[in-house]
Amino acid sequence: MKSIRYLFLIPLFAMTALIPSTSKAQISLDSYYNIDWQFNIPLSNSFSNKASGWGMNFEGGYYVHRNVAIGAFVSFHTNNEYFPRETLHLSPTLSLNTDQQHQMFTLPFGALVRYRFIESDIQPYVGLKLGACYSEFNDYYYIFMKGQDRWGFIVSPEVGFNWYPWANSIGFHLAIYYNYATNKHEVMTYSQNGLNNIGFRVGLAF
Amino acid sequence: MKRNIIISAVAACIAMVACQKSPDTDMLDNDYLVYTNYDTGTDFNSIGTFHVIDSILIIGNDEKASYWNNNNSLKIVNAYRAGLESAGFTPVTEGEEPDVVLQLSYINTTYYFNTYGSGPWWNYYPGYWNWGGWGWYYPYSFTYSYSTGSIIGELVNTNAPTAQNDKLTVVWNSYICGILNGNNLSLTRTLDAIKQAFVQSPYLNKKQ
Repeated sequence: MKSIRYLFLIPLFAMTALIPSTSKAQISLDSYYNIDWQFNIPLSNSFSNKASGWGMNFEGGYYVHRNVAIGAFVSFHTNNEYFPRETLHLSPTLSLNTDQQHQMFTLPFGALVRYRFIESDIQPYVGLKLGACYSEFNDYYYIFMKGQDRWGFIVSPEVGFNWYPWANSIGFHLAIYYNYATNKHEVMTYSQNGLNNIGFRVGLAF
Repeated sequence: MKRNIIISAVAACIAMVACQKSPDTDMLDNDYLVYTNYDTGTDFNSIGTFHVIDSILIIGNDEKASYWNNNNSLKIVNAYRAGLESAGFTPVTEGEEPDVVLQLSYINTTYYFNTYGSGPWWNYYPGYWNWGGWGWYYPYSFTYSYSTGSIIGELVNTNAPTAQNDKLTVVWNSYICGILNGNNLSLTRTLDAIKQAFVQSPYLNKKQ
């Protein structure tokens, strides 16, 4: 199972073997910037478990070593899910019958470290992001809304590559990520201890 | 310089919070919403008889109490009566001294909900049910979202007030909203909501 999980890295590294070892393609050689659209899939989330593409990611880093960059990131995402009519037991005696729209919004930001395997037109990398995560759980029902916002810590490993097909110009970025945030929520009858997500990002590289 | 960066970062975060994708509330079925609650200290099996007051109190802006009394209100009263009968209680007239009485109120405007503090707000309505000066109270706490076009049903224990509080107790209540189509009452939806109130209150059913 573990070996299957990392199979996607094989074509990534194979591509790097076919390209020149150095490049002047990117605009700045000692830094990078990514602006991405992202697709996020919540894992085991009782409040909103539906994947969505309502999010973006912004990050940038400075290469303190030839292949090691440190930098900062901020991203945001919304996952909405409709819950059909049901009776919710809000307390041992209080019941509510309604249907609902759930909205989960997350906004993580913080520091990152990235290791690129090669400095070339295609730059595969692994990265790790650490920081804070602001989250909101909002429950819409009838004309009412019950919401809650929380803060937590987030850790997010990531693999991907920047591809600069043209000299001294913009490039493209593709990444797969996982993240875990310590945020805890209790809204209506829904309780969530920690946020787990996987997803991918597609965007521009500078 | 550093200050500008911080301000820009904060502004960017605020802008991103505003980037939330609002859920599509059009997907909501726009049907009724039903709250029910009850007193755990009440043995519903020991309650034998009930009476539903024929008129529905209208809670509005006017301090003078007015009542809803027409064919529609009668159907609503009958729906509650049918629910209590199905639960195993016996209907009697007010003169026969029922064990519990159901009082019904319709929120025409939320003025009295917005004006007063913590609930039950409607208790402060000048013309509200008074029960010969006894008054009444909720032995359980709750927080509801409220709106115009809602019906409150309160099942009041008419037996002697408790020593703890010289008031009659509400032993069960229902709160129904989402029953308007524009400005008009949807009677079908209202009657369905009343049925739902009893469906989600199985503790009312008397054991045979």
